Amino acid sequence: MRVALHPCYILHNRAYRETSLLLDVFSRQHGRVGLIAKGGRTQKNHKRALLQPGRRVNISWTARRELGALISVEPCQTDAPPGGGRLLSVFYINELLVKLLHKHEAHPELFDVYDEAITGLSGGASEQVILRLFEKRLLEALGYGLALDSDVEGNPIKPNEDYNYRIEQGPVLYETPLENSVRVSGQTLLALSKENPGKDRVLNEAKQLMRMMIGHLLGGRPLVSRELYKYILSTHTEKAGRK
Amino acid sequence: MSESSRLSTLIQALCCLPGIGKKSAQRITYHLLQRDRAGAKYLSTALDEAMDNIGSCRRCRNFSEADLCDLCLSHKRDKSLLCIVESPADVYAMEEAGFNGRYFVLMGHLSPLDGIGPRELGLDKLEEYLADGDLSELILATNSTMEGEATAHFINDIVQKYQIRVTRIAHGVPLGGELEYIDSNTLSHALAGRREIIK
Ligand SMILES: [Zn+2]
Repeated sequence: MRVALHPCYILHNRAYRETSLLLDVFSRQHGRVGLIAKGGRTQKNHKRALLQPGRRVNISWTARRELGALISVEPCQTDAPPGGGRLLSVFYINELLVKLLHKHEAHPELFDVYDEAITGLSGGASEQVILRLFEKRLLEALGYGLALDSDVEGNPIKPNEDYNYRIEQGPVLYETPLENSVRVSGQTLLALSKENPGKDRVLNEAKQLMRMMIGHLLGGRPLVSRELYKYILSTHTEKAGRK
Repeated sequence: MSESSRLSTLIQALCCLPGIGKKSAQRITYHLLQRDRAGAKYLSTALDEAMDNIGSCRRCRNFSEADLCDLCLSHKRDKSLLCIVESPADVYAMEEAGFNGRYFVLMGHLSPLDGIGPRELGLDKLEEYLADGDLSELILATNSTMEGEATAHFINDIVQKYQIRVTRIAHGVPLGGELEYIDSNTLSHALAGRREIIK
């Protein structure tokens, strides 16, 4: 089957044989697909610049069960891709998709969510807000959407109460620390529900909540991109310590 | 018609060479057995010796037989410049371009999905280098791929505390390049890095 110029993002590329590239592609209608780009690494090949993570492109390919073959790639008229320190966030969301999405499983709505996150990362919007919203919508797309409007007993979430958010169950009014749960304020749950997690406290709590949920879905597999943030953070605290 | 097992082992082994598939491996094997046994012996000894004796330089991580490589030991190099590259092949390219400082070879770039993080790139070693060196400039010459760019920014971020000048090699219009054939991303890099015309 031949797929004609179709919106895609490269999640990962890897050198293959002498001159080729192996691509992990997230396509709008066909989900994640593995493609081989023959000659994708040769000097004369203009494709190489386009076959980079973080750039929206249109790709044609011949689909096969395991590994499809790239036919052509064309740039998509969008803003410049994310750059600088924000590339770490591209690593992070790409690692989430590769580790949590099965191949050939269509997720057009998630593609649009991803597209919005990448566009946000290439602009000036808050990186933390972009990542938390992406995580929230990713969980929804995978069928693990968070319960944010009412607690496990069906009572509406109150902004001034604290809750224990329990994996696979949802929020229960906070009494004491529990295993497999994170303490979050009602304010945070409601802000996430409205997709407006702008305040520092909300962002911090939302990060803990997402970390628990995603960690659960990953089933113990580590996220290497998270190590990168940790490494930078540790060198910065070292620096602050010296002052 | 089955091939003897040594013959098929050799063909199989040759397939580890870049660009060599089963067909070429077969051709090489027959050639060596038929026409160049001495050359083949020489090759096998050279391979053996190289694999047993070539390690990496303690300071710059480039291939080296000794604890420190020739480039690191040379007194003719400018010690105040350190150029960070992804691979030994990039060292060669920079040498051809006339660079006369020293190098640090990452042996790759950041790639979380391949499990390659700061430790795999020897960034702890780089920090040791920076801590005791008398460097004046760190040149980030990683590739202009997304991963190379991310690696450059990452290194720039963690070396801030050493208060060394950090630069990134310029990317843009290649020599002999015509604008209409250059992709928009490259052109926007070239535009962002524009300079005064030298009079
Ligand atoms: Zn050396």
